[in-house]
Amino acid sequence: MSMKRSLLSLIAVAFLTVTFGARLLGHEGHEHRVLGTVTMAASDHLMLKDRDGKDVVVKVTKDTKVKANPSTTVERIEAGTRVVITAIEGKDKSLTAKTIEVGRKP
Amino acid sequence: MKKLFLLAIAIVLVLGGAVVYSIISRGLSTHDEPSRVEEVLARSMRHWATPRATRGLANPVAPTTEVITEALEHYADHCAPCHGNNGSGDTEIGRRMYPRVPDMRAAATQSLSDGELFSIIEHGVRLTGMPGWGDGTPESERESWALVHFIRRLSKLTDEDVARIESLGPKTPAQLKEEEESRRFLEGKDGKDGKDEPSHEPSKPHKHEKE
Repeated sequence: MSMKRSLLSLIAVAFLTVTFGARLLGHEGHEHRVLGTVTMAASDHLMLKDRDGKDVVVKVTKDTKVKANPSTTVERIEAGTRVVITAIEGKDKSLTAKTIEVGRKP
Repeated sequence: MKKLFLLAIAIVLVLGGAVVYSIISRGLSTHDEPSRVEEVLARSMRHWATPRATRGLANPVAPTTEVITEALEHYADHCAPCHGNNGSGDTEIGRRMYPRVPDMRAAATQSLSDGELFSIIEHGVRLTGMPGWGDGTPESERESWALVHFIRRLSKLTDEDVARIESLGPKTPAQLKEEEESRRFLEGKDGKDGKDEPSHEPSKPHKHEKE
């Protein structure tokens, strides 16, 4: 029984490794923190200027959490508002927001 | 029986050669997403490797408020860095492991028996990132059973629960520094000279205090 189990494990491990070997994929899935000031807000994306003055676009999905007091929605964030965004970088280098912390209004 | 054994050995040798070839040609990067087939196979292997008696164990710890609170704190400290504050597995570490850290709120985890969950926490799972947390003591087992109760409640966590887990989680000095930096930025207190940035209200002139 024990030998059978060992053989089964060996075969499975070998099969998995061969069939599903990996390939390198840049920085996909890497988490970024963006600190910036909102220039435009829509329900599906946010445009902001980061602290170096660079324009950044961050996608917004239904899973994006907005942390604000009082609570708000993405499209209601006013231009000039400071935000801290935790975003995930995709294969195409685009950023998708996981959380948006809303700070001081203009 | 002998033929079967020889056939198995032959299969292992062939696949072994293929493994070596694969490692040499493609490496062992974890960036790829495991396929559905691999996932099913791995889960099945884990299921078979868990003794039937363990799978059938009932949780001996009563799910009192104290037990759940204690488990939440334990989860925040030991589990959340990989499994996420809400159990989604959507963490910096979780997205990079092979296999990916599972969403424990989903059916694939919730359909496991209490005994299977306990076994995974206590003994870990080889060839994954899941360590065996148990040390064989009754206290360790009690903590693992308490975590089983907590895992069953993951899909019902409130935003307050998640925030509490986040606040209890271990933080590196770099993370603490980032949090402080974010807080100051959001409050508009990130003046480059280290002083608080003044609130710009054109109609009300303001003074800068000298140090």
